[in-house]
Amino acid sequence: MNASLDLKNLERKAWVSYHQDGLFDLYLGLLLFCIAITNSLLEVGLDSWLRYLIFFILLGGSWLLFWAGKRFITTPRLGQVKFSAARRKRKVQLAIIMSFFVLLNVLLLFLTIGARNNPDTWGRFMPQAELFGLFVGVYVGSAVALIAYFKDISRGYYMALVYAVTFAAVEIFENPALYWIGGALIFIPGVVLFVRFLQRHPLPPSEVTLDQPGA
Amino acid sequence: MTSQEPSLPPPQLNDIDRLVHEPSRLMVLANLYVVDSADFTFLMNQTGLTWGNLSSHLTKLEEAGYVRVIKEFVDRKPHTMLSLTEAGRTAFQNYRQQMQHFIQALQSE
Repeated sequence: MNASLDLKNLERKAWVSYHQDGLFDLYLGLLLFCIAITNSLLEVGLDSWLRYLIFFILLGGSWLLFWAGKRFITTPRLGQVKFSAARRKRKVQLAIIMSFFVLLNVLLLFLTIGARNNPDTWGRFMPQAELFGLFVGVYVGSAVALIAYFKDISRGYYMALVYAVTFAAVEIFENPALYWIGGALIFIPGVVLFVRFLQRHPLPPSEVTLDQPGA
Repeated sequence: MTSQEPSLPPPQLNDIDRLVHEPSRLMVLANLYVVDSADFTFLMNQTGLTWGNLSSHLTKLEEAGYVRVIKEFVDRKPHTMLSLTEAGRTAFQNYRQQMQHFIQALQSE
């Protein structure tokens, strides 16, 4: 029996146990792989709209895997819990901040496409590759760091660093293959965590419920 | 609270709620205190208690009115969630205060 009675630690332990399954790491790793695959399709010469379609299908597939993993692997092993109102409030705050980031992302994407297609007009305001790379790295890294902060996942800061360095390096060295390395740096620890989680938390026997008669 | 208010008499050892004082039940109450609600599997994982032990402790806590059993359907299957009642929260808070008093009294002597 666990004898700790520090309530803050107890709550955090319960929260952290739900994020030690490696699924979040696998998901963020897969996102970088999705970008890497989409970029490699560019070399094949695939139509850009088709590439975007494949990209969004891959993104959706990654999310589906994450959701299904939580639903069918993590929850049956750890049980269901509704965390406190404070945790739910942080979740809402994160959703609001991420919506803002997505909007800003779309705006920056259009500005970048505009600047690259019009080098003589908009393009004059485009910073050099190094500076642009640095900006993209800080921007993407801070978005992932915010997720780590609001979700209270310490490993998330490592992932934020990998994202920042990967995005900056791709822009500076103009080498999209670096997305594969960044993805692997997050995906592989995720696989280790996932396997360890499955070993530590086998499926409980079916009688572990209060629903059966006499319980 | 102002300093003019009369201070409450220190609790006596006899006042300790024995239902809460038992270590396994105390762990169950503490785990339910920090979340809104949880199911049986979650409590087993967090407390390390066996199914039989946890079941008997929960029955006692439910009979005392400290734990509420919420029956719901998830994917058309019956599912049971557990949460602390107001009486359960108060009992746990009182127990913590009383224990803090006793520890302070022990340290001051």
